[in-house]
Amino acid sequence: MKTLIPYPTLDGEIVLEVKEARLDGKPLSLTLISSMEQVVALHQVERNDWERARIVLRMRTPQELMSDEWVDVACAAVLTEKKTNVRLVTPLKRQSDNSWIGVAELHRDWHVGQAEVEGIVTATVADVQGRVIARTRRRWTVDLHLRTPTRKRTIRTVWKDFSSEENVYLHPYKGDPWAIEAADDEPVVYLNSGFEGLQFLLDSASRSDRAVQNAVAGQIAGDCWAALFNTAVYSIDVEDGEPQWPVGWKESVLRRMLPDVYPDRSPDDALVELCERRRQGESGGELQTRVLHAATKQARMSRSLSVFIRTLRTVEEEK
Amino acid sequence: MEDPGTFGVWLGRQLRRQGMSQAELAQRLDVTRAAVSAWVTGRAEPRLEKIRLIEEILGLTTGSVMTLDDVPDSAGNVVWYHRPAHRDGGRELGNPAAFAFESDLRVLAREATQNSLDERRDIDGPVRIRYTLHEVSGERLYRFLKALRWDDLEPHYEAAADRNTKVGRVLTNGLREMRETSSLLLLRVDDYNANGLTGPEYDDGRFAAVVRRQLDSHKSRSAGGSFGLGKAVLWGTSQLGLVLINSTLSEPYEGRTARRVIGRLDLPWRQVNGEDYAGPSWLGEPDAEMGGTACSWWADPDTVDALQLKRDSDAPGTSFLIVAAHDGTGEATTLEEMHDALVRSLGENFWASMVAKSGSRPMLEASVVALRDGHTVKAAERVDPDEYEPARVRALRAFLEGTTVEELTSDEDVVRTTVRLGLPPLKDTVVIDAESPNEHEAVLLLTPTNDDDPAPNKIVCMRGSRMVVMKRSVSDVPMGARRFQAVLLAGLATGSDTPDAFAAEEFLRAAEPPEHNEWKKTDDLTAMYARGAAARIQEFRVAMLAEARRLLRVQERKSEDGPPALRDLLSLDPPPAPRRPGFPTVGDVEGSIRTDGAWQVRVEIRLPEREDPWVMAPVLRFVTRSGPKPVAEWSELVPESHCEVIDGTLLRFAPRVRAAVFTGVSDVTSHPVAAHMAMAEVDLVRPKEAGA
Amino acid sequence: MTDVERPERLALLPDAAVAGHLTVGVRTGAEKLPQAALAKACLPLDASSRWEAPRVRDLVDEAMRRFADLPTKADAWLAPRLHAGLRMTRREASDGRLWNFLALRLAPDYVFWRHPGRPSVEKPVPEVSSGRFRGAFHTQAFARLWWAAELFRNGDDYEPVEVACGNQDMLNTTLRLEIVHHRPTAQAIIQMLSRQTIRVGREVNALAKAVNTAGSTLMYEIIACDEVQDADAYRCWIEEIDTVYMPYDSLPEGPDDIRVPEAVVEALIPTFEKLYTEAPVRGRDKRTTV
Repeated sequence: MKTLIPYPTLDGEIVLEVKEARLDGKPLSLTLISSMEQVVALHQVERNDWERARIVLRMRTPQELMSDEWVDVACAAVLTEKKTNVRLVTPLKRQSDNSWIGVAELHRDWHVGQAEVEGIVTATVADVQGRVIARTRRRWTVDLHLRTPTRKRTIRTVWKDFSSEENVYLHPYKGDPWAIEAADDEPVVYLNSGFEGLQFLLDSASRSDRAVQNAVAGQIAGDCWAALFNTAVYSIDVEDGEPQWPVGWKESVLRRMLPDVYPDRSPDDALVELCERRRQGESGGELQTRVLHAATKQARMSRSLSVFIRTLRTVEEEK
Repeated sequence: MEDPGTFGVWLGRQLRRQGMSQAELAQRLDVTRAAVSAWVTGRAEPRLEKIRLIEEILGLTTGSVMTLDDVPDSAGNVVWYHRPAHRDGGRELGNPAAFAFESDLRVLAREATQNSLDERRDIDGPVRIRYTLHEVSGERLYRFLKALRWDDLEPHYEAAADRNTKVGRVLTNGLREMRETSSLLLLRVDDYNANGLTGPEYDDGRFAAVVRRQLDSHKSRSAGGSFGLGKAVLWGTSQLGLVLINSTLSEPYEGRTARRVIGRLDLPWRQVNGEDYAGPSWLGEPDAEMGGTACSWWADPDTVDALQLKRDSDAPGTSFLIVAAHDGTGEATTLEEMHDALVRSLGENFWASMVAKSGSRPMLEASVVALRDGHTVKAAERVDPDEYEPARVRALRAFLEGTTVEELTSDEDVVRTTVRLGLPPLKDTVVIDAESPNEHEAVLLLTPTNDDDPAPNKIVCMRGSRMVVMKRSVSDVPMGARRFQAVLLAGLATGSDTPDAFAAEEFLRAAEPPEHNEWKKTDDLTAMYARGAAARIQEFRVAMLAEARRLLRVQERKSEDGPPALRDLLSLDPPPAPRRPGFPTVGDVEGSIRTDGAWQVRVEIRLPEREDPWVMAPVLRFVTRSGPKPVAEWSELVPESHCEVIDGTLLRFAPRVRAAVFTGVSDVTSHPVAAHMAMAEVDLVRPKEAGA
Repeated sequence: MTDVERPERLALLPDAAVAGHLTVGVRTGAEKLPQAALAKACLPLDASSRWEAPRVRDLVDEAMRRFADLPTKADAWLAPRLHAGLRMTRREASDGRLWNFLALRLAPDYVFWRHPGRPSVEKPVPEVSSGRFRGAFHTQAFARLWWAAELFRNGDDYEPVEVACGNQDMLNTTLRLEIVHHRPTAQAIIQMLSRQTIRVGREVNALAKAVNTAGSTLMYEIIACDEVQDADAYRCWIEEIDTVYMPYDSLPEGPDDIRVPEAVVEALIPTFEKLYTEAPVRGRDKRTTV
C-alpha cells in the first residue's frame, strides 16, 4: 500500500518532544516522561485526584519550512482519545530558534486511558488553506494509568490463589493451573498460586528446571493466544461492508496471528476471510486447526517441547 | 629620573641599539668601564654633565635622558640573527617541541586560548582573544616580505628545505605553496586584557619562557607564566617555522610597555655560504653584549603595521603572527574551512569559559575573522557558546545563577549533585597536617538534551580554567531514560575558595598530561603525591559515571509481569513486516490527477512465485480522517507487463512471475470528493467472489 | 415490584457477565433476560444522587409513550433529555458497563421497542442486534443518544441535537466519524442540515463522506479554530442535577461550557459546500443547489 498525495509536502522530518508535564501545576519528574518510548506516565499513587494535566510540547521542523515556498505555515499538536471522543488541537507558536512550542491541556473529566499526541504542520497549498504538509512519524502516548513511561507490550500475567475468598470469580476454575480472561479492556492470564508446585516451577531460577519451565510456559502461552484470538474474531465490526480492524490488544493479537492463519493472504484480506468464516458460522474445523497452529508458533512450543523431550531422554539414559 | 634602575635599563638598550659596547662608551666619556656597568645595572647614576655627553654621543636631543626617549628607530637596526652550529658538530634538526604536537588548528586554538586564559590580567573582565586568518598576496605580500627581510631568510630556507626530513618536507611545501600561489596565509592570535610578555630578555619571566625556552613547561608554571609545551604548537602551525610576536606589556620593562616585538624562526641544521647554522634564528636588534644575537625591540607603529602586527587597542596582551599557517591534519585547507575549524574548536573547548551568569561578564570572549588582502571573507564571528553546547551551557549557567533543581521536571531543568574526590597527601609533607583537606566535593550538573544531539549522554570535566579537560561517555544508561549532557566542575571551578578546592585543583592538574586532556596517572602525580593517588583518580572517574546513572534511574518497575519464561511468549508487539510475504504486494506507485479530475496511476506489483496464477483485484481507495476508506472504481485498467485484465476489474498475473506492472484510471463519478482534496492509496485484495 | 425487576440505582454491568446471556432466544424475545443473575454481577456506582435509576427510567417511559407509533422519532426527543438527566463526564460515559446496565437491566424493553430488527432471508425471525445491548458508543441503544447529545450540542444549546437526531444518517454514519469531534465541523454540518442545504439521508452521507475524506489532507481545526471548552462549567452543571426540573415539552438546558463562535461555523460552511458540490459521487441528485 502506498499513499498518493495530490500536492507538495514537506520533505524533511518533523519531531515532537514533550518538554515537561504538570499535574495541577506541580511538575512531573522527567523520569515519568520517556522521549525514547514517547510515553508520558501520568499515574502517581499519591495523586489520583488531579484535575488537569498540562503537557508542554515542542516541535522541531526542517529548515526548508522557512523557505518562501510555504505560506501560512502553522504547527499544531493533535491530542486524541478514542474512548472519550476527544480531539484537541493545540496551536504551537514559533520560537526564536525556529522550534514551535505550545501547551496541551488534558482535563481528567475528558480522559480515561490513553491519549495520543501527533504533531502536524499545515500551510496554504495551491490556494487551499490548512493543508497538512507534514506529520510526525511517531505519536506520543499520554497514559493515565502508567507508573513508568514504557509501552505495555505483553499480556498481563497475575498470580492468584483461585480458591481464596477474595477471588470468587476464579472459583469455577480452582482446580485448573491457569485461566485466561479475555475481557474488553485488557486480557489477563491468571496463574493459580494454589496449584501445588506451579509457582515454584515457573519462578525457579535453577538450570535444571529450565526445560520443564519452558515447556509449561509454552502450554500456557499457547492456550492464551488461542483464547484471545477467538475473542478478537468476535469483535471485528463490519462498516459499509468492510471489516474494520478492532482496536487495542485485539488488533495486536490478530496482527500477530493472522499471517500464520492465512499465510497467503495480506492482513486485510485475512481479516475479510475471517469475517466471512464467522458469518457462515464456520468457526470450527479447519479454522480452529489453523488458529492452533498460529498459537503454537506464538508460544514457540515446537522448540520448548523438543528441548523438554531431549532432556527427558538424557535423564533416562543417565539412569 | 626617579628610578635609577629604569635609567640603567634605558641606557643598556640605547647602547645595544647603537651596537656600542659599555667599554666604548666608557672610553668616549673618559670614565672607567666599571662606572658604565654600575649605571647600566642601576647601582649608580651619572652626573649631569655626563648625561649631556651621553645624549651627544648617542645622537639624542637634549633632555632625552630625562624623558627616557629612544634613539629614533631606524629599520636598519633590526636584523636576522642565525645561531651558528655547535662547534662539536651536533646537528639539531629543528625545534623538537614543535613537532611533539600534531600541528592541528584545533589543537592550536586549544593551547593558545588556554595560555591566554591563564594570563588574564583583570579578573573582573574577560580576556578577549581574536584569531585572524589573513591571506595576503600582491603588493601587500611584497611589503610584508620586505619588512620581514625575506632576502636574508631565503637562502636559509633553501638550504634547510633541501633535506629528507619531516621538517624539511614541511618547509618545502610551505615554500612551494607560497611561490605557486603568490600568496601567504597569516594567522594572528591576539589576546587583550592579558599580561603580555613581561620580564627580561633572557632571564626568567614570561618573555623568555615564550621566546627563548624550548621545552619550558613545568618550571614556567611556578615562574608565573604558564606558557608550557603548548606554545610549540604556534611554530608547528607555521609551515615556515616562523612566528612574529608583538606584545603590549602589563608591567613596564625598560620603562616601556607598547610594541615589544621579536620574531623567531625554527630551522634545522643548514649550511649557508659555507657557514654551518643550527637552532633558532631571531629577528630583532643585535645585542652586542650577547655576541650579536638578536633581541626584542620597541618597534615604531609603521614597522608593526608593515609586519602585520598592529594591535587594535592599548590593552595589554600579545599578538602572535603565524606565517604560512596550515592545518597539519589536512582537514582544513581553504580559508573558510580553517575559519570554521577554529570557531568549532573554541566552541567545544572553551564554551564554559565564555558563559557567565546574566548581568556579569565571562572569563573569555573569543572571535574569529577571515580576510583576503584586507577584505573580509568571514566577518568577525564572536564564538557563541549557546550555539555549540546548548545543553551544557544551560547547565553551567543554571549553576552560576543558582537555579539548579533536585529533580528534573522540565527538559530545560538542570539537576545538581556532588561527586566525591579523595585527596591524597603530598609526598614531601612529613607530618600529616590535620588541617589539610582529604576530600573534595566536585559538582555534577546534568540536563536533558535534544533528541537530535549527535553525541548525547556525556560528561564534560573541567577545573578552574573551565577548559574542557575530558569528555566521558556514560554507558548503561537506564532504558527509556532521557538523553542528557552533564558537566563536572572540580577544584576551583566549583566556585569554592575553601582549602579543599585549591588542593583538588592542584591534584587534578598534576593528574593531567601535558596536553591537559585527561585525568589519569601521570609522572607528576606519582612524583608529587603519596601512594594511592592514582587510585583516588580512578575512584573519581568511576564515581562520576555512577552518580550520573543514579540521577537517570527510572522508578523501579512493579513486577507484575509474571514469570520471565512466560513473559517472552506473550508479547503484543506488532510483528515485523515480512521480507518475502506469501501474497502479492504493491510496490512503487506513481500517480497524478488528470485534467478531468481522475487519478491516473502506474503500479508495480511484487508476487511470490507460484505455479497457479494469482488473481487479485486492484483497489484505489480514498484515505479518510477516520472510518472506512471509500473505494473508487476503475474506468480504465491496462496491463503493462506480466498480467492481464479480467472482467475489467481483476488482474490475473502470469504464473511464476515475481513482478508485474499495470496502469489504471479511476472513474471520476465514483470519487467521494474531488481528487485533489484527498489522499489516495492503491492496494491489492482478493476478489470478492469465491473461486475467482 | 422487586429491585430485581426495577432497579433503584444505576450500576455497572461487566461485559463478561453480559456475553453469555445475549443468546438468539433473548434477542428474538423468545426468552427473558435472567435479571437476578445480571443483578448479582453488577458493581455499584458511588453514592451520588446522579445514579438514581427512576430519573432515566421515567424518560424512557415517556419516550415510548409519546412516540409509540414512530420509535425512530423518539431519538430527537430522548437524546438531549438523556444527556441532561444522566449528568456525567465523558470519562464516566466511556465506561461500557454503564450502558450495559441501561440496556440489559434498566430498560431492555426500550431496546426491543426502538431496535426491533428486520426479518431477512437468512434470519426470518427478526432479532435485535447484540450491538444494541452491548456495543460501540455509536450503536448501543443508549450510548448513541448520550454521545450524539454530547457531540452535537452547542454549549448549553440542545437544539442542534434535535436537528441532528432527527436524521437517522447523522446518528448512524456521521456520529462515529472523528470529524465531529471538532465542534465547529459538527455544527456546520447541522447548520447545513437545518438550512436544508442537504436534506435527505443520502445527501447527509455524501457530505459526511466528502468532509471525512478531505479531512485526510485538511485540518479543519486550523481553518476554523474552536474555543476551549470550559471543563469547570461542565462540572458545575453536573452538580446542579438535584436543583433542576426536567422539562418534557421544551428543551432542557445543557452545560454552559462555551458555545462555538458563530463566525467560526459560518467560516467553515463555504468550505463544506465547495467539497460537497465538487464531489462527483454517482447517484446524487446533481440538481441540488447550494
